[in-house]
Amino acid sequence: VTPRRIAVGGIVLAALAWFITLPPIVARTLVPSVILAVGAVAAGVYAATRDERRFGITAAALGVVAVIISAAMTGSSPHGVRSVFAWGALISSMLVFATPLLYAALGGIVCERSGVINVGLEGMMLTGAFFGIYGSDVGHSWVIGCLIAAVAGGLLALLHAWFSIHLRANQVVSGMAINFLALGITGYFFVAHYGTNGTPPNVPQIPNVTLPLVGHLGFIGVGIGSVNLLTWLGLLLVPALAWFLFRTRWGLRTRAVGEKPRAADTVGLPVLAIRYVAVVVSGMLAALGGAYLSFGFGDSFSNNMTEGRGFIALAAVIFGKWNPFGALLATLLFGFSTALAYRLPALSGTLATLFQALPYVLTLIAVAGWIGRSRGPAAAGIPYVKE
Amino acid sequence: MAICGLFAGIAASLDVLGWQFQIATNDITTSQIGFLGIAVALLGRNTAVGTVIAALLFGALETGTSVRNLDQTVFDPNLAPYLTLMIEGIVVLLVSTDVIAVRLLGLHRGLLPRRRTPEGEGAL
Repeated sequence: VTPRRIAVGGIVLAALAWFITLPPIVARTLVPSVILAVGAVAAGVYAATRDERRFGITAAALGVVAVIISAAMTGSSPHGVRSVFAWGALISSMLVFATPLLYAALGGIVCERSGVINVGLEGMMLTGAFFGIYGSDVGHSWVIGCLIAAVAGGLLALLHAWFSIHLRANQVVSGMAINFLALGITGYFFVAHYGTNGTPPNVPQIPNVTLPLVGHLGFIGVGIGSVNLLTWLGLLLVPALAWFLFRTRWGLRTRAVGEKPRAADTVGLPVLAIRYVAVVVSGMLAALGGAYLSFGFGDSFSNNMTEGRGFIALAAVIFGKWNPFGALLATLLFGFSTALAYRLPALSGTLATLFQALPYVLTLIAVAGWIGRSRGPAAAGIPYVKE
Repeated sequence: MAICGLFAGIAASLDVLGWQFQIATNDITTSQIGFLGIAVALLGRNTAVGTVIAALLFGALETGTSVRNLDQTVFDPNLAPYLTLMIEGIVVLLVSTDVIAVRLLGLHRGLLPRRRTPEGEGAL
């Protein structure tokens, strides 16, 4: 029994302390939660005083948080707790909120792995959202909508690529400019084309995939029984991208360009071309995430409808340590906290707002190095100048 | 950075206490003012005087295209704010690189003062 294991046990105890106040148990007194949480804090303190400071402090802090949240749970009506924590609905809305983040985060990973920072993800999502629904409306088909979304996002990304690769712009600044530009372009065409009425109500939407036989799986069946096609595609993209980045020749080359472009150039890799492709692909992925927002899950476009999701996706890239699986975990976590934030006002408005801030808090913790080193590609943000 | 936060806090309080007189949970984030602030600082090339001038330019762009101030016959006031955003985007895009300015003015690199950007922004 090492101190680290005791600290991990403490973290589990803290989670349990909260869990017993939720369905299916729904404890109505605070006593068992407090006992478990005290155990968590004790384990944390024990570990923290024996050279496991990080895990120990985490366990102790989680114990304190668990008591506060459990108190909020036991203090509200059991009916309310059951309706907010309906696990099936919670899982399906977690997937809904995670999907656009996942696409944008995967795009961000591709881009940053090749050594270009992409702060313009937000704008590329927005472009995808508008031009996707526009294409779907005009072309009477969601496939055409997706294609046009990807093309529009790719074009905007091409602009970012040209500025940050050829014109050697400051990539953060150029990305910000892309965001403004996207906000302006989508807003302009939206108002010019659709006027004050908004998008028409009968735009073809990306269909849901209804799985047979999952009805017997209880709450999981409710959660994943009828999920959008783009969600499944995004979940498949995660291992595909991981395989590409870490198992194929071109993935290795992309990473080499992001880490040491000089060395990659010396062995004859087309550094600039690889970066161009990576940035454009990232724009296309982000645009698909936006398309999911406007005509996948939703059925209309509104100005600035991405509302900062691109930036949360950037946070997910960092939180996931520039790894597709890490990003998937991060987006699921962020999606869960957003889903909870949407359902929590039934119990407590303040708690709901706190959960909305969770992605940012977690990212700060990640950047501060609390979950191990989160270090990006070495050459990200530095324009490459050939000798 | 503490001073930076101090200024940003004053900026937001000016908006709320001096003009809006009300606040909702997501007022500031939806109004893009923070990001415009970064754009203004960049356009002012991170100098105090330049920032004032850049802020005046962006302020003029914003108020000049607001629904209240724009003549209906000149340009559709519903579209104008988006045109402003596009212009701001293009301005920031052009500010992000000095290669174009250097080419256009026929200057060599080094004649222009190096833009001092905060280092260590690293990978975002």
